[in-house]
Amino acid sequence: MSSEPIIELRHIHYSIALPDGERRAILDDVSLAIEPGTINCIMGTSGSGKTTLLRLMAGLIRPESGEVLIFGRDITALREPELNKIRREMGFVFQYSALFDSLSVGQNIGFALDRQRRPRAEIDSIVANLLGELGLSGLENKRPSELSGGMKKRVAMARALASNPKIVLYDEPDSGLDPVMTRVIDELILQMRDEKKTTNVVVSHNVHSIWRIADRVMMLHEGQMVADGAPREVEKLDVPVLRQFLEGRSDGPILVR
Amino acid sequence: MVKKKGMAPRRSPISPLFGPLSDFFLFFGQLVSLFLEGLWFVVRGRISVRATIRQMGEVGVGSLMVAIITVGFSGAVLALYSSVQLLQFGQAALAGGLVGKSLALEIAPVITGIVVAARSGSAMAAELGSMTVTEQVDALKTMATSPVQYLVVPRILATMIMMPIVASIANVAGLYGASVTANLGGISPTLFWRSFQDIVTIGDQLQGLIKTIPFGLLIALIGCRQGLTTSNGAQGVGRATTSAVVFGSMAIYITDFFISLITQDLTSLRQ
Ligand SMILES: Nc1ncnc2c1ncn2[C@@H]1O[C@H](COP(=O)(O)OP(=O)(O)OP(=O)(O)O)[C@@H](O)[C@H]1O
Ligand SMILES: [Mg+2]
Repeated sequence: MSSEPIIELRHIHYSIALPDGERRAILDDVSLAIEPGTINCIMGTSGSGKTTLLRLMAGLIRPESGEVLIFGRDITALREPELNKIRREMGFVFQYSALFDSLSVGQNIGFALDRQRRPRAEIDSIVANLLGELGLSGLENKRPSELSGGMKKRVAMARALASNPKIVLYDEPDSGLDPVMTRVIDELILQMRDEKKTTNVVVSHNVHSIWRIADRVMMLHEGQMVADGAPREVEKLDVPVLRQFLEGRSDGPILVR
Repeated sequence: MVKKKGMAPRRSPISPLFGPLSDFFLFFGQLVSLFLEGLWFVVRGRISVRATIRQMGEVGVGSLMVAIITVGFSGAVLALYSSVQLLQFGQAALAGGLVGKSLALEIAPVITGIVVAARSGSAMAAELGSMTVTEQVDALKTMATSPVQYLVVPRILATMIMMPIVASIANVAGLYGASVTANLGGISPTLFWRSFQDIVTIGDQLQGLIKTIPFGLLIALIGCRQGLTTSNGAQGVGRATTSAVVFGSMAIYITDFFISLITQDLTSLRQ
């Protein structure tokens, strides 16, 4: 791994204001660099800051301090039009799908393409292809409210992939999916990497699926990066929270609240 | 999780006094900045005609019947009171003009504004609010789409266009209601309409209709702002919806007062 990182976070601090006027650190000095054309999995307990990390990468929130470099450009100070140029090269799969209620499944998936004024026929064929790949053929005209949670998740994936992004950020793409569908999604992510050369950041709790797809594994714990490396290295690390997480034990340093 | 102390600005002992005031300036500032951002899309012609027409339908369908009924009955009540008074003073010939002028200048625009705030302003806050808490607004942003351009501008334009239309139809309903009760009170429809024609000018009608345009702007701007700043899930959506109606109605009465003050001064100077 020697190429320039496509995503780089440098000493990110992010905190939120609490009602009592104090601040709570969500991310505490997080740094990472992501190589193009790889699959990078971020795991961590609930509330450890994984979603926050993805939102920073998409420019949805700005860090208190630190830099977020995408394609080598620091996006923390960019204005909306400049940021949008970068976002056109990105896909984001939201944890709770975030499909547009008022649009059909087909319009959801074709949204970004429609905004780029691509021809109708082209959009329709891309949408139909993606639906086919995700086992959702024929659902174009359904409303998101008519779908199951797992179907919504797959539509959200199709929407993120439709405009052929260079970077795809997945927030728990397999939550709410059965093992078969999880496998389908994993293979799709692998296929995106191998055929389209996308760079993928995948937030996931699913240790099995992470070890199946990851080129690199990271673990966030209480806003700090506690593990980062190739799956084979991370497996052997002797970090207590990591061990507890990988072995799925309820006793250990992770506080169960 | 890690707690850090001393990073937030300390609260001064007098901040409870300035709290509401600074909240108001924050609210006002956000409205102005939302307005300017929307305006910037409009001047560059980045308007979705399709979305605007759809929103016009929403505003019209939502508000027209309610506006007709409320203004219709207000006109009726106004005519009832004033015809009784005017008959006592032997001024029955003024009834149509008086009621017509009040309807055109004040009742139709303001009540229509309240109705649209209650029906459409609240619907905007609810829709945008639920889009905000379910991250649909964030999804728009990640697809390089400005929520202001895509969601706010069509709603503002649609409300500004529909307000005068709904208000003028409501105004006609109010006049009709007024002529019916004036008749019950002993003023014949012929007398009522003649007096209306003699006293109420086209200028009055226009003045009433024109002021509904800023009302429409404020209703939609406040509805959208409340929606886009929603947090705390379903409870937050409820709060955004209610506050859109409360702030929208207050904004209508306050602007109405200032518009009336300015326009009345000018007309009396001319006489
Ligand atoms: N807008 C917000 N307001 C208040 N707290 C927030 C906000 N966003 C995040 N948090 C807090 O920040 C922490 C990290 O949130 P984040 O969503 O990044 O966690 P996560 O790792 O994605 O968790 P999960 O696995 O449950 O999705 C949580 O403790 C959460 O309570
Ligand atoms: Mg999350």
